[in-house]
Amino acid sequence: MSDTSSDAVRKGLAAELKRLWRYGLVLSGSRTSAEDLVQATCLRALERAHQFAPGTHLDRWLFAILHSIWLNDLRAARYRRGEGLVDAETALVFDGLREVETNILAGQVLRQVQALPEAQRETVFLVYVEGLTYREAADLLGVPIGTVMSRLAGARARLAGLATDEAAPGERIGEPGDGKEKAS
Amino acid sequence: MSAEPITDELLTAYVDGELPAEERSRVNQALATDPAVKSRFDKLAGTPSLKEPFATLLDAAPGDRLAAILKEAEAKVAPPARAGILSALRPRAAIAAAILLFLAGGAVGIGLQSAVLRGTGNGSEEKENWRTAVADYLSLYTSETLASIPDDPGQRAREVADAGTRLALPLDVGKVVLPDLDLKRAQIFAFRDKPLVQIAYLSQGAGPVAFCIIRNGQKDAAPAFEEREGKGIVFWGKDGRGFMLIGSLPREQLELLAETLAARIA
Repeated sequence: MSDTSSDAVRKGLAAELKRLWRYGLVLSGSRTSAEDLVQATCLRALERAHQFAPGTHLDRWLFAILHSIWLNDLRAARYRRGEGLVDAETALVFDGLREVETNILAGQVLRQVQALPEAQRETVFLVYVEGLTYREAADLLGVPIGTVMSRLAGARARLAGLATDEAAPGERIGEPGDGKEKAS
Repeated sequence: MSAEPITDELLTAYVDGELPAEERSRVNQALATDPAVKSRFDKLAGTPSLKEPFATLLDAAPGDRLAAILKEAEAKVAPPARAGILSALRPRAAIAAAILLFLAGGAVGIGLQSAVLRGTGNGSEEKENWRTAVADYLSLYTSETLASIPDDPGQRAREVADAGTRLALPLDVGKVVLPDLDLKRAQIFAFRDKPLVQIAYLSQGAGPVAFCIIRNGQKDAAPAFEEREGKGIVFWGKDGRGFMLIGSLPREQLELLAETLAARIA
């Protein structure tokens, strides 16, 4: 009966807000966008609460909603505005992180994850942080399980410093600050 | 050799415990016999755990703000009837309100008990029913129901635009503001699966006033007047939509306002 579905969603949403926000932050790299994503997810979840199957994982259901909003609305809008995602990926060293900078190791790891391409980053987050199985991640992301595997393998290779792909020579070595010195 | 190459994907799935048994034993064997695979494996498996670093982000989450966001979303999706006002209502209205609250759980819209109770009805009866339903619903409103809604022009503009979208009718605040009435809110409901929009106003002297539009395919009809639930209603039909303006205002004033609205929305 749809009323129990709605009840389950209404009662359960509050406990998931922070995790939704974190997912939004991982995707968008900005606190504001993360909040927008939480807001849109709450609205859609409440509107469609009757579709939730009680007894299944509410968090997965909410993640799927947030994922689709990001994919269909927010990210698309960002591309339309010509902003792309580059900013997001660099800025993901999070606004939020400033508050936890005391934890240097955590910061380093977050930076590394953040530097991953979006598809890898999202998959890594869902599987290694949120604990989804490959199957669950594949369903949520709407990709074959083999794609989940190759994203995770690619991410592990990068995190382990094994990646041989695109990084052009010099790109990794150079610190920022190239070419801006004052000629004196 | 039967062996396909041991890929990073295989090694990763192995680390993650996602590999079926037969593949697992193949990887085991390669790890035992092939130093290159073993070295690759050690590196892939040696990446840091992500759970703890990401836990710091949960601590950084703006909990209060997120709670406020959820509250706002709940208010937007649920009809306005609140448990707190139930005690103040007449018994009959309280029952109606309870039904509304019950149906609100389905997130579909207002309960419209009269519509449910009066059978399916033919076309004209249904058209009457939607007005009855709105009148019943509005009878639950007090000035306090609306007075507590904060003035937020941006929010109002969005609500009105959204309402227009649902009705396939270009609407903006300029078309629905009315003299001497505070525009308080536009909400989307459904009546028998037809989109129904209620734009609520507060009159200092006469309490709640509502302008409602339903997209129900009805024929054009000239404005007419009736009374329901002790309130006056001016209603008309245009381009497949039913319109009604309802409130405890004097009939002439109501008719004048309805004329204004009809002219703007024509």
